[in-house]
Amino acid sequence: MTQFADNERLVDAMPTHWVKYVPQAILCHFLAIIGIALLIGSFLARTLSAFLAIGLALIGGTLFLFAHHKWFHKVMSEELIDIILTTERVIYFKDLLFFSDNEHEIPLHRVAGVEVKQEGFFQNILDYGTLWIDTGGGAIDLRRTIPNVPRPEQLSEKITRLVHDESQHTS
Amino acid sequence: MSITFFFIGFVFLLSFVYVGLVVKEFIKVMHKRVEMLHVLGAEDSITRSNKALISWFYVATSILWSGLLFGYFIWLAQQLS
Repeated sequence: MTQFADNERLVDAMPTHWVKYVPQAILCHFLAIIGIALLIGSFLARTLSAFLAIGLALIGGTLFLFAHHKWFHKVMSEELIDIILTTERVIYFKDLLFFSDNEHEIPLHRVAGVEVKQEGFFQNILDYGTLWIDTGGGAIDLRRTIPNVPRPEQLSEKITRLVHDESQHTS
Repeated sequence: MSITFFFIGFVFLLSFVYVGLVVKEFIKVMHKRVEMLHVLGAEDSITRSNKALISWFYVATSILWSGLLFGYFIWLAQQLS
């Protein structure tokens, strides 16, 4: 786990925007509906062929359970607070249970600027966007990019204020 | 038919082992995150939000769907025999 300085304090903590669930929700519901349709098909086919009925039931049931587990895996992987802003750093977590456990840390003294990107209808309506933290490296680095940030303007302002305070404190 | 039921039972057993592993991993990650927030002096309102509820919901719905599907398979087998 990250080692924190004694005087380091939490400024803000939040989960990324719920929009991150939408593609997976569509996929899982689609798979679940196909699964249910196959189960209904097996019910209807029971008078025609036993082999067909059992086959459809097995495929439908498996598909339905797969969709169920896939959906909860996504929700449980991403439900926790994954953006943490402290007086010393910005921490961003990208977890996928059993598959990845990534923690990206950007010390505030390395931050040269913060850029907010809110592109498209949905990002503006739902007020979320991408936060790019410029550490002076030039090109956009995925490790310094936080996607699906809710109210990114507010977070950007908080980071900018902390960076400004720290630069005044050190000078 | 007995081989089919053995297979179905095995799949359900595997799915419950998987549910257990996912819940265990989720709770581990959650505790790590809460501990980190506590170290940073987070208020209880941030750390106390009951995220563990989702794991209970996952277990409950997994039992429900598996039970319903297993019941349907038994009913279907009786209809076909």
